[in-house]
Amino acid sequence: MGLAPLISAVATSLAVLAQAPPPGPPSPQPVQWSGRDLTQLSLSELAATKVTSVSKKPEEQSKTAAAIAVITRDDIRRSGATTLIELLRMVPGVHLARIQSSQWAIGIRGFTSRLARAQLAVMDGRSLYTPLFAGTYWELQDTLLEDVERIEVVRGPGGTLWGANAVTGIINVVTRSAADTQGGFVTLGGGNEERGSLRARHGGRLGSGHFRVWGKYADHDAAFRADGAEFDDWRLGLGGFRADWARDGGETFSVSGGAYSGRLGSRGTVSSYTAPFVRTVEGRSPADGGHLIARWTRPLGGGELALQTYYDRSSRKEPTFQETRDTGDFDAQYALHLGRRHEIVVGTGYRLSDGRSQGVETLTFVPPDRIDHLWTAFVQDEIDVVRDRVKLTIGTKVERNSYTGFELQPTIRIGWTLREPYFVWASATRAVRTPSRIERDLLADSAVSATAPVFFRLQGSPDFATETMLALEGGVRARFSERVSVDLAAFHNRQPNLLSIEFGRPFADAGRQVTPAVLANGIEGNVEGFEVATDLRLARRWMVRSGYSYLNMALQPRPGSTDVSTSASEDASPRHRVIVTSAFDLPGGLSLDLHGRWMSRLPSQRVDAYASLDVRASWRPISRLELAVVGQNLLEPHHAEFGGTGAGEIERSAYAEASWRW
Amino acid sequence: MAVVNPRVRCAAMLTLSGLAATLAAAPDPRPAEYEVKAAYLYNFAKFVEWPAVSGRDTFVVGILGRDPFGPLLDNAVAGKNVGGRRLTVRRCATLEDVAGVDMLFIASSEASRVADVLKHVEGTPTLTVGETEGFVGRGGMVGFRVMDEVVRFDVDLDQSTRAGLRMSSQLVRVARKVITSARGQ
Repeated sequence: MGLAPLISAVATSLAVLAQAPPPGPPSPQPVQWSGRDLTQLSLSELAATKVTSVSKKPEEQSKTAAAIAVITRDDIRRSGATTLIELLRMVPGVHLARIQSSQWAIGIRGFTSRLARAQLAVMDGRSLYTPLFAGTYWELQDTLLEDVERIEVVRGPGGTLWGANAVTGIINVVTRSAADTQGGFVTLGGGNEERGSLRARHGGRLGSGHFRVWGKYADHDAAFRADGAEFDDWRLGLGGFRADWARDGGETFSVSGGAYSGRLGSRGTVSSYTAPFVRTVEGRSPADGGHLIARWTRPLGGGELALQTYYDRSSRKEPTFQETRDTGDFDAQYALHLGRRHEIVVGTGYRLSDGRSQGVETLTFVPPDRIDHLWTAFVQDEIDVVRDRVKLTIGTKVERNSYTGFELQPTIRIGWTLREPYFVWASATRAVRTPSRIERDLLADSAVSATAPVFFRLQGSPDFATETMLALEGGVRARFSERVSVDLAAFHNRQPNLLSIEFGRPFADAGRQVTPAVLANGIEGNVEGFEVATDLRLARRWMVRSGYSYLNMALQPRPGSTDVSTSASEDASPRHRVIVTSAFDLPGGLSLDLHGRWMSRLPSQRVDAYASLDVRASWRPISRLELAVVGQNLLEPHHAEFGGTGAGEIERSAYAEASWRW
Repeated sequence: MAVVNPRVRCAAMLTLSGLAATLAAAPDPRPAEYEVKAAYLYNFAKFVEWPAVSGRDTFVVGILGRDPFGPLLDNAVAGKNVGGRRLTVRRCATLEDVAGVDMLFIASSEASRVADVLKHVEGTPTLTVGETEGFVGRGGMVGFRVMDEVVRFDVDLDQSTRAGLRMSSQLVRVARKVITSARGQ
């Protein structure tokens, strides 16, 4: 195993290109006619006619000057995924690895980590990124997948509109409007790993608007461990609502909210200043939280004004550390067409995040409580340089944060419709990742031995500065027809001041021997690679998607740095990754979906190259009832995805579920 | 770790995809999305009343932007009449081509300039039909939405009335969402 899958992936891509019809005028497209005269149907019969779902990508996506992938509702339904984060496995250029049952590491264009510091995640305008230690607790950031409209995944810096921490990628989850989720369903399922799940939603009218309420509960089994230990099983219940009103003249108002409560099995080591200096603790960590969002848009002076505010609270108690955080956010955005050529977007925002932490004697944040303020403002102009052919986007975001003051993030992007159907784009962006609390305030002593007072001290530093990146990107997209489309993107990221761990001289402190290690910006390097994705509709009911991504990370300590972590970081993201997905609809309401993946090894995580296969089969005997069986990770009894020797392995699993709609 | 022989794996994958190909080749009884949309356009022509015009023997359906219908719309309207006028399809490359169309379908390729297009036809008796997000509510008259595999539509009666068009109650009844300032209808 090694070269063969790579070669076959490249061959698939070439075969796709070879089969593509010669480029020419865009239409007429090869649409099949069912042979019936639908004009004979009455209006209400038409309104009840089921159509083949052309899971089409919005036009905006195919003409966007960025490496963007969209996970559609159809993709979500067919995935068999039970949690939001698992959906990201299907995106080329995104590396998702399950560390244990309730923990995931994610990397977009490298830097795979549970603490994916330089990736921004947003759901309905609410940031899912925690400023405590720069990352996202993905196991808690879930929602009812049936009500997700789409997930946009941007590889690379998102540009002006997104701002800080949107450096290597953005995950933007957009849920459906309440008007689109009328009626309801209840789904019950169970299996060997996904032990039990219950999901339900009901939507109805509310005055002149619409609403929905929903709930989800899932019980997940522990991961496999060779020593038989089982501690990381977990349960999470969540629920929420959304209401939307649209008024005459284009004014809209939307309110949504949600809450979750989970118990996550965990095991960790706790260091102590008295013997025994290290012990292992197991427990069920409670995690609770909720949020409330209000959004209002209205046409104003030829443009559109959007105001949004939200409040979010999260609380998590782990054996060694607990934190409660309250976040309030306000954003205003105004989009305006100026003349025939300019589309201008300006915006401003303010966020206050109040975190209160409590550690143990060997693990603390100093100070334990801290309020972060973040002010942002941005302006962007999209210029139609040559009508319908060449678009130039320039813009910048200015941000002021509590740690490093002002940060400037300019971008320039150009998109060129070369000759239908070829769209070419290129961009240059400066993006920043601002410090989080862990890099400034952490003070953690880890005992090296259970019997001797020898400690390793990891600590944040007031000197830790913003990480910057200069990204050069480019790509080609071609949608030859409804049947064949190809998307290629390449990038070169220069990152001169990445997070490093600087070792100091051991010293004696109150009878303990301490080796200090301070967080600094001592790593520099280049990351480059490319991603190819092809969509092939082989038959009307059969869609095959494939993706290949290549990544090359070259990091090194800067002069004077004592960091030794660069190769571990390089080796935590796969150099090669292949995805093949097949979706078909069969007669009689049956559908069958296959998801195959292969990726090269991760030496620093002790993960060999592996292939995996998920299969989902569903049957809709009547329109109100859907039955589905899903098999996941079918090729091996269990395999490791991330985290070295102590991590759990992901097991072969199966579950079945039944869904009733009204 | 028990690892399945790669050859066995390959064979399994091939068998599965072969099976799939056989099954996928079976005919599909369901029409395509744009076949249904084309039939709707014909119905809109039937169920909307235009102000009387004299001396025109054709009813023109314009498509602005990248044509998603292919031959489907031509098939749907071939040989059909509304109010004694023969239905014809015109593909419009620019806004100038739009002059004189009775119904204008604004394709999703025009998403970024919907407001400009609507402004251009303002004041003329043109039924505007779109499929982009939020088309109805931002000045469009009829907006398609695909929901749970069926094609539905929203209407804005204020906009159509302003253009001198009358939508029949049969049409309005089937609409998913109706915007109107005349309460209690």
